Amino acid sequence: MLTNIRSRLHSLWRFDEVLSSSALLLMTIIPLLEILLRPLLGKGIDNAPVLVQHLGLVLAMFGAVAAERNGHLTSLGSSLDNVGNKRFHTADQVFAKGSAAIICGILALASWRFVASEMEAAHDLAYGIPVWWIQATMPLGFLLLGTKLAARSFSSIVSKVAWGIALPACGFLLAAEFDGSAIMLWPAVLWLIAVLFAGAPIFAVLGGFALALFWQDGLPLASIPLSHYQITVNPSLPALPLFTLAGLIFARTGAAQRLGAVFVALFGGGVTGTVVAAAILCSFFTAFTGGSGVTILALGGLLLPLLRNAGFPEQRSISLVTSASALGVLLAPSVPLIMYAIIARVPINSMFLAGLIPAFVMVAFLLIFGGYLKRGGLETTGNVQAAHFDAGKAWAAIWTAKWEILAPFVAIGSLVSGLATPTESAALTAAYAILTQTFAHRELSLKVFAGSLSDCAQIIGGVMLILGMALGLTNFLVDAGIPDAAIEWVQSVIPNKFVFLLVLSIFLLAAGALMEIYAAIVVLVPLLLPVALSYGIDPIHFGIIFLAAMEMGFLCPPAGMNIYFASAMFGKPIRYVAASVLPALFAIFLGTLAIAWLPVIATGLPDFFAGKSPW
Amino acid sequence: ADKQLRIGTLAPKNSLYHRQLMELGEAWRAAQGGNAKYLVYPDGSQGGEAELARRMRIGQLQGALLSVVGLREIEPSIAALQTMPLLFKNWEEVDYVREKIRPAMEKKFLDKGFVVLAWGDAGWVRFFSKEAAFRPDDYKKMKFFSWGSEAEQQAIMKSLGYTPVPLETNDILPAIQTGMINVVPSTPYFALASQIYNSAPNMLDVNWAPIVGALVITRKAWDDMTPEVQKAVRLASDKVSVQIRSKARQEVDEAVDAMKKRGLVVNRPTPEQMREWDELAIKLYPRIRGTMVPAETFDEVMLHLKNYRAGKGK
Ligand code: NA
Ligand code: NA
Repeated sequence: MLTNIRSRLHSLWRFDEVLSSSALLLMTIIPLLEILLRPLLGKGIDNAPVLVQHLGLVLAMFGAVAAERNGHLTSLGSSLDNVGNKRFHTADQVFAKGSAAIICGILALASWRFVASEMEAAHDLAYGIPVWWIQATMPLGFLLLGTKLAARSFSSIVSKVAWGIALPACGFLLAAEFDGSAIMLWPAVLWLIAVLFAGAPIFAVLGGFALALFWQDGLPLASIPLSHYQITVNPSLPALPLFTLAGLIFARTGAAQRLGAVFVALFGGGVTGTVVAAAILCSFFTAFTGGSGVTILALGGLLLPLLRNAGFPEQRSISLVTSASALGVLLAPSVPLIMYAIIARVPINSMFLAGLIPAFVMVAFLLIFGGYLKRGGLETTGNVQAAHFDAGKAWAAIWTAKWEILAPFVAIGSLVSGLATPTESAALTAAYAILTQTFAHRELSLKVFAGSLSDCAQIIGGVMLILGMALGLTNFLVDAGIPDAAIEWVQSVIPNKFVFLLVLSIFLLAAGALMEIYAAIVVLVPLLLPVALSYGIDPIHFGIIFLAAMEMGFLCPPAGMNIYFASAMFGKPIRYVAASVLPALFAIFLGTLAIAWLPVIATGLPDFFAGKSPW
Repeated sequence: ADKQLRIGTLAPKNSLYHRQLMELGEAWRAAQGGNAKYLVYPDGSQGGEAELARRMRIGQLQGALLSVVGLREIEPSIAALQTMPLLFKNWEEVDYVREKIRPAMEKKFLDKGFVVLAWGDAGWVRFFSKEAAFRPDDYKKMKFFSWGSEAEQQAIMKSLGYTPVPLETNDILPAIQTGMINVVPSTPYFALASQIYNSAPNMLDVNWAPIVGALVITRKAWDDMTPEVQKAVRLASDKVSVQIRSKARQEVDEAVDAMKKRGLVVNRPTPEQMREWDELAIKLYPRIRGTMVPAETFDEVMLHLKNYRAGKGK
């Protein structure tokens, strides 16, 4: 009886996961129905594209709420966790999460003001549903997030309830009272820096900065939720969760093993073959998983023994897997590639084409300048086989992995051929992953599928929240005319395009080390792109340089995610992994410079498809 | 804080529209005096048309220069001026009807919290396609660009056997290059500026619909001005309105000439084919009435147009 009630309460508690997963499922199904109904003329789903975009908002808000419970909201990292005693640690958590809860309260008020202004000019979305019903998920979501963040750091039920209500309410009432009147910026900034280092979620810190900046000028706080709303309903945005879902499904089935077998068979079992195969496979897999470190978890256990067997030393093996897993960012359909296209307002398919050759250039640079092809230092005690190619074995491996090999062609082909819009192409790829893994391989159980939906909603919910808050911040920069000022200043300091590209690459290396890739894209691209354009750099080319440089950021502490993942996966100290990837870092930097200085590497393919001569 | 007037627009930096907005700002600042701050955000840096309407509503922007795509987010009946195909034969008809419905329309905007300062236009929508096309049926095998936000329009197109592909403006060029769409309804000025005519070098010489716009500011910003400042702003806005309308019309002709020099083919329908277009339009009107355009406004526009044509003895 009691357990029954408890389990019911438990599932009620998870309504956020159910809501966000259902939104994601509908986002997959509706575009596919539209593709099928389009040639039949007549009616399809009412206002389908806009409906799918608004489902993205539901997914983002409730996905983020679910991510909070499962500890999936990105923070700067547990930098203070090792400092001080337990009491200090608890105080730190109360400060970080309590502050985030107050910010959530302010954001809830700001979103409510936005929703109220929308109700004045109510529109129907489809089937008689007013748009503001969907928009109301923002104040609701922020309130829930605030309550849960505040309650998280207390242990007794009474203090959980009390603080869970008091802290967000405090932010809400504060904002209701002082919205529109100018406040001082510096106290807020100092507080936010402390909050950031105490380990509060990144979205709360970014949102806090945006709020403080608008507040100091007496501008309406509703500007921030408005920016957040506009990005979640961007026509290209549904591609993000859908491609991620496809990637997660491939990561949770036997797809990784099958692809591993293909690459090893193709490149032979010798040292060089295994090294090349490992590097390409990691890039290939990261393209689908978006460089979130999932590659290391999915492939590390598979590749490390292979490399060791081929006689490759341990530290260099770990170095190779860790660094190669950073490379797929340039390969379609990676999430950062799509994100850049959205922020820079360039076509997604042009970005996909532009990244193809640079992705392989980066692999080549990594292997050559990272020293992975050197023959010295190999362990002769290893079980070195003669490198020979067995066509029969290779063909068998390819046949077994045929569905996975075809996946990129489904994703890129449907888009580049003009058969599908970016959203439809992503939905098609997600459906392809679901269907092939369920029916052809019988490896996708209902439980794994539901888990993938929920995890995808949580990952993307967290990312979209950061994205939305960062765009609120960007909107302030535009509002204050900062990009124009930046252009003038940079042009007065750096007169030459090649010097600018060198400085840019170094700056981005530092930025990538300090910032999470999604935050870097949304905060830095709107600032740097106009500057790059003023030097006559193509926006597609700039995007490829930017993402290439971000690949270095995965390998650089403190925000180098791959180092932490590799350290956890291979059971080695962070310092050991960080030292091991230093040559790789150097190689990727050279690769970035090559791509920066030779634009044709990036722009050649899109220009060719557009019928333009690259010369 | 100092008085601020913050205006957003999709018009490019240093374009005719941007320059006119800056002139208006000078007039406002001179009348306002002190440290009044006037800011124009061109190039859509504060977002698309619907977003500009939203930013005005929350009070972040005080004004915006919008086309009907954005204005209808404030007052849906404005769609009567831009979304009824082949209704207006020339600018004189557009001007006449606009002047007739203007007082009532400006009242509606005022009730929604906005003051219309100036009306303007940006040319006629024409069809730019990959393959040459002359008759309505020629377009049935093609795929049309349409704005993602215009759901009713897509429903009407689908019901008549046409294929709309909802996209955003930035997707037009790659979509036409890859064959996802093969027709783009666009003004010649936009087709030239965006290079659409390179991939879709056939222009149907039919004035499908005018692109009409207006400069609006929020009622709150307007009420904050003293009567003297309001008078100065009105005076300057009237000048802006005349400038935008006359110069924009001139730029449209220049755009067609410039594209012709670079390979644009202008396809003129025969009288027989033109009749088919008019028949299509007549079939469209009842579907537009009461959906895209409120029935009342629709009837009003039709009546004014009838009177105008009768008065001209046609
Ligand atoms: Na982000
Ligand atoms: Na990074």
